[in-house]
Amino acid sequence: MRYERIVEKVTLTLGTAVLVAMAVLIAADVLLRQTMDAGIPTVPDFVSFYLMVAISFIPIAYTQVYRSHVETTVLFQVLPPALKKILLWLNAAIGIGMFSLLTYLSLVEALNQTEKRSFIESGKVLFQIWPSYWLLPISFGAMLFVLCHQIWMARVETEISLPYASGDSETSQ
Amino acid sequence: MSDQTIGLLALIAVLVMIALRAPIAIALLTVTFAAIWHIAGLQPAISILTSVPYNFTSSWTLSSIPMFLFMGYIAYHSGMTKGLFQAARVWLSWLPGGLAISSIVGCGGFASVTGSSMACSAAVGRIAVPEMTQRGYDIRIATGAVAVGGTLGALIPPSLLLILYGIYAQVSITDLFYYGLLLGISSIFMYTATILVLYYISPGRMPMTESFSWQERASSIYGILPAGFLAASVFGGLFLGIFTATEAGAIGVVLAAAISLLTRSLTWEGFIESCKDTLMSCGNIFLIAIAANSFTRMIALSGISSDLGMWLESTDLGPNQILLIIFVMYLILGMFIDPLGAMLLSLPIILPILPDQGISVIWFGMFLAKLLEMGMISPPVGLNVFVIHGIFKETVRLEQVFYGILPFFIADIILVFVLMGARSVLF
Repeated sequence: MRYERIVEKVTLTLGTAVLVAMAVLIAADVLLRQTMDAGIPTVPDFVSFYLMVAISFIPIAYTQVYRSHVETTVLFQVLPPALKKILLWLNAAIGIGMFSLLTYLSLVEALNQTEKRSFIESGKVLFQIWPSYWLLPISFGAMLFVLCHQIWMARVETEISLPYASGDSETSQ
Repeated sequence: MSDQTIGLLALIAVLVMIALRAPIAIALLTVTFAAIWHIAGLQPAISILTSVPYNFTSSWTLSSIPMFLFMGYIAYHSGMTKGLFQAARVWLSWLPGGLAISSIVGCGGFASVTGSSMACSAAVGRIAVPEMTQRGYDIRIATGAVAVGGTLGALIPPSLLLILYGIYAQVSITDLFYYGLLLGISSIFMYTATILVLYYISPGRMPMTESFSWQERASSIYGILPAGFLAASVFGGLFLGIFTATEAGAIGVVLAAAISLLTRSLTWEGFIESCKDTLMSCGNIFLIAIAANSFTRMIALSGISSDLGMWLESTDLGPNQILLIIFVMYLILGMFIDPLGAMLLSLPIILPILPDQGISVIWFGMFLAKLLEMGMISPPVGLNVFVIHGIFKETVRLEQVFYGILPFFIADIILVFVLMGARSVLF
């Protein structure tokens, strides 16, 4: 659990910083535009390409630490325990497969964008956006790490530790 | 195998995976990747998974979601929403079934600050249900009123469902908020009428309670001033065109923080809890939204929605009949899948057929929000019902809460038909 706590603390700290920065920057931009008829240059681009990307991906691993990604349990509940166990392991394996793929693809994309030094035109400014592409492989990688760790804990503990087994007591018996 | 067949199988596969407890986002992403690989090849499938996450999320409009979430959680954790039910009780207790009506109006006020249905039910329910049962209210009516009141969070701005719908359907979020507010107020009136009817059928289930003096009424206003000021400033500024819906969320965060610091009601722990809750919601919402956006591309590639549009044109079904089919479909979908998942899963198929049928996309947003909201109180999932049952499980059985919901559910169905009638007149 120690490693998951590290991920939780890092993602919570970064996420909090992003939330506060987003609120302050947008509000300051509106205030300046209303009072001085001139907003802060590049705020919409910084919010879109950095803060929005960060707040979309950083919390994915944080949510997984608490096993809180949305899932439906209504039909699952009526299945026999043996089948439930199989499905929990299968879902965990699919999750690992998908996030491995996302981590790999986003890493390749981040390397491509870095090589191109990609940017957008923001008024008269050339606004570099390539660093923001690195938020994806880092976030997906953190998610992958949490998933693997939870599966590892399930191997040495019980299926209750599996990534998508929140609140399921029957499978742990 | 034709592309349409692959698309259809993909849709079934997603539903099966969700039923077997795969997280909604994982089910959508996995099936999308496999289906596009089959339809167009591996490279397009990789391309979708590479491009969609970044391109979808690097959006200025989307920033309103974390901001409104953050505003709501700060307001909640600073206790700004606590006085809403008490104020409604003091002002409305003279009415027959006054406490039940107060809980619904309190939920409406709560929704205007937080936009969250479940938080709304839980927060108002914790105060209102014990109050009602102590005064001799039938537990079924007490829990039903609070569970249904919570659903106002999906209609009254800043409803997250409406923001996401606006982004997907590319319509003005301010317009959606405006009509959502009207629909929310109409729902409050319908629920109030339902309580009055229940009272006149069986007055013993909702005994009259004491009425309050004007002095007590005036002092109750003090408790809701912070929340009232926050909602009025954010939505006043939005509807008056001073700032956009995207900017309104950030203004709301700064105002909520400033108010709670001035009133010394937000502790450091409360602030951290607000951040944690916001991050948890963002982690869920954005991953599902990204997955649903990828799924939309797959549906478009498969040609299902265009085929469905052509099929509908070839039949003699009019817009109202099609809306009835959609109504039934969402009632069934809402029984098993949470509102966000149900909306994002179905929009790629339904949105493209609306213009040909002469159905306004803004109007459909209201219709959809109302149906999704009904899904939150319909068995067997009914998230709001589970929230209320979870809090009071020692005093009320699940089926009693569902029984309490029933009259309000009928009221919702009537309102849906009124909404369908209004479509041909107003939109």
